Amino acid sequence: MAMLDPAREAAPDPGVWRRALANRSFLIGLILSIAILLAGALSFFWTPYGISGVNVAARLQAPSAAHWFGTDHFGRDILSMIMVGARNSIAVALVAVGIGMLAGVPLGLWAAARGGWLDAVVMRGNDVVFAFPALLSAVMITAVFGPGAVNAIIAIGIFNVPVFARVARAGAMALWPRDYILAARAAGKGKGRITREHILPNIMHLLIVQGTIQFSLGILAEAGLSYLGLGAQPPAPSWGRMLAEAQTMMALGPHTALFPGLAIIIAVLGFNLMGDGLRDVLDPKLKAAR
Amino acid sequence: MSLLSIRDLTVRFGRFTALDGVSLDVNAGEIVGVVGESGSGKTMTALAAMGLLPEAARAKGDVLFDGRNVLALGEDQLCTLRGDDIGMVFQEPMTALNPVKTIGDQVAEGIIWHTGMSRAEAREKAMAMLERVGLPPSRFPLDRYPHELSGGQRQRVVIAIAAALNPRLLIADEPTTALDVVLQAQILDLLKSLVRERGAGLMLISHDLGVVASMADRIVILRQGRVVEAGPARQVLREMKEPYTRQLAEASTHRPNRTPRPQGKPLLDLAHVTRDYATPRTRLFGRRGTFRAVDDVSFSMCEREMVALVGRSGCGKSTLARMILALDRPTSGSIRFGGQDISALPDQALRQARREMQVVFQDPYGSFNPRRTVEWLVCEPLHLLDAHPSRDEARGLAASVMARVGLDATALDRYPHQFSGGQRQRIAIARALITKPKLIVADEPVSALDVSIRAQVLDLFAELNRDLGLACLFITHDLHVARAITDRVLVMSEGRIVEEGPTADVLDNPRSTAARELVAAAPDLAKELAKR
Repeated sequence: MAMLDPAREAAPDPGVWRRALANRSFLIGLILSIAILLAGALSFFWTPYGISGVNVAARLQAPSAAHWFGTDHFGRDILSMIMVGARNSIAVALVAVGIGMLAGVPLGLWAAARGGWLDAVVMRGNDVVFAFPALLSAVMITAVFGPGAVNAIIAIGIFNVPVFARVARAGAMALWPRDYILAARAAGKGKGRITREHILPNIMHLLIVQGTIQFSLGILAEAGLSYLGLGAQPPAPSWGRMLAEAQTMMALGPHTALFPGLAIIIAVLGFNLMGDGLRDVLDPKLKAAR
Repeated sequence: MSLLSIRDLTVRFGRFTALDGVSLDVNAGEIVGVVGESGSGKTMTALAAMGLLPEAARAKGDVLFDGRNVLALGEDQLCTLRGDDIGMVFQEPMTALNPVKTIGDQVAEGIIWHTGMSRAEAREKAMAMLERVGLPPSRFPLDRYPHELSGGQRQRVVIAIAAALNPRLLIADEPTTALDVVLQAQILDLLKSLVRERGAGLMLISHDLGVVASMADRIVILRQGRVVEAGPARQVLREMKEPYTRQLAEASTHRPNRTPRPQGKPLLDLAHVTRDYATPRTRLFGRRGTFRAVDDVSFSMCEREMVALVGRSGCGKSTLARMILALDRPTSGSIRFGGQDISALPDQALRQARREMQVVFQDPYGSFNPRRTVEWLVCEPLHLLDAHPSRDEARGLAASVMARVGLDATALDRYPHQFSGGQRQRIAIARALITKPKLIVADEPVSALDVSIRAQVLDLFAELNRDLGLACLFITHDLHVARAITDRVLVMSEGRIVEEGPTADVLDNPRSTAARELVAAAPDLAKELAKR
């Protein structure tokens, strides 16, 4: 019987990239995500048209060779706006995931290392944050502190904290009783050092997977907030507000809603698929269980 | 015509040959022992007999069960065969049971599936079956869940499931490897009486010739996918025609060459050590109970002494080991190591004691962080030195301890998964040696290893004792290990030390009930050979 071998299951694996690229959902997700990232990066240097100029004569044009995605009700090029919007979405999601990781992971690791009442207090605190519907509370935060990209980032970031705290704690709790942790304690290492040297490297794959998934949720949340007018403020373009503005124009120019909507779908789908694929590649146990 | 007849079975995975022309028979009413070390293909043989070979396997040859070729049957026909005509008992009772279903449902499930009985009838039958395997419904109602049972009780449930439909063939793959010797003897007895009273065949797979010797009518010895020797148990055990069979038997009864060392200064001294654990509340505002894992234990050890701490699983020996290693604190009592009371010291003050006392764990798979190189892992205890060695010095030290345990310095740059179980246990010993300790606490250091590897690791411990004057505390349920390399034995039962004395005296003339139970249950190949 092939013995379940924990050493093999998490060993450094040079074939991980090859296997990742052979995983269909990872590959599709990677291509979609790179497309969005490239569009955002490119917009720093070049967009087909400027996005601040109003050109009423060219308003609500259908997609054509000159304007691939058409123009909106001010005559602005939709492709250019989506490209600039991408960078806004990515920035918000990235910083929000960063906040979640930087605050959540240490919190979860700390709770797992200390245990007892401290663990209980930290995790019940997490539950309290979890209990609020994230988007609704984000609306509340931005309503109190004023709409804007920075407040949107903070609001979304706060709700990432308990997610990462939980993942980190669960991963760490499973590792603490292992023999190699006991051996490290017998070697006189303290809990902080054991967490850094033994626990963190062995839960990294969990955090990476959760990170990509939270990233896609961050993009969605940002779109939702700016749709309500609580995210990035005009004239900075954002996908959510483009959708909101297109709403009244649906009959005249359905393409004005179609393309920002597609951009959101591609971004969310891309990062989600990538996260799913990564999970299969990095955590073969989970795949076998399915 | 035999019940199960495997003819010239070859199983390949790509270029790797797992089984190479294996032939064996199991007749009705016969117990066939299949013995081999890891990688010998014994589990693959069992899977082939059930038609459960992994998809990637390419099989050639015949597996005839009652005249039908199992390898050629479709999945539907196989499903009616498995469970109904062939029952299987697995090694790990923890994972063989579904944790969210009651034991009654799990036994009844197969009965309903194969016979179409009503749920009530099936439960009736399940109850009778559980009673038969020693879990009377008065004490073990059908609505118990697996986690409410002990390891031995779980294995009884697994046997009840396998035997519920009176299968004509039972296949037991290392059914007792996860259990202590007393439970092992009980489970083997149960299997034997079950197949005897029903006239079924039993294929008993084990890595331990000692276990099989007391049970089997015929023995098949496998090595690297081939049958080395097969025949009536009497003949195989008495004649030992094949050198490999002799090697297995010797490894199983191996005793390193050692002369008792003159005792040195007192090293470790435990006085009235007790450890209580709080048990969970049974009611919301109820009182927490306490469970006494270690109860008033006192003993001492000298430098260079080899001592065994034996007892059944759950007797508190591992808790005691953790307290000696200062990984856990006693509720009361004192533990003195090298004249210092370590049970009261804060972590920072333990560096000296930790340096002189290291640990080796049972599981060579779980005792290393898989993401670090062997060098990093072996050097980890150097953290305890006051003067931190440079990288080169550390590497030099690591290379010297690796050489000490018989491994090459090139191994330092590899990762633990690139080594076999026996090699990993050597690496674990190297890690324990690097701070030049006076005492090693070894918690079941060889019980996860094949017999031949086990013999080598025991030799290594004996050598370290002889050459380095290392004292060892061996924690084990295996009396053979105790007999092989220790001078003195402590017998533990329900948290207390119930007997203590020179190893040979205690094992030959056990006085306490606990010790007598252990001695009676231990599989003893030498005695078995003498009997035949």
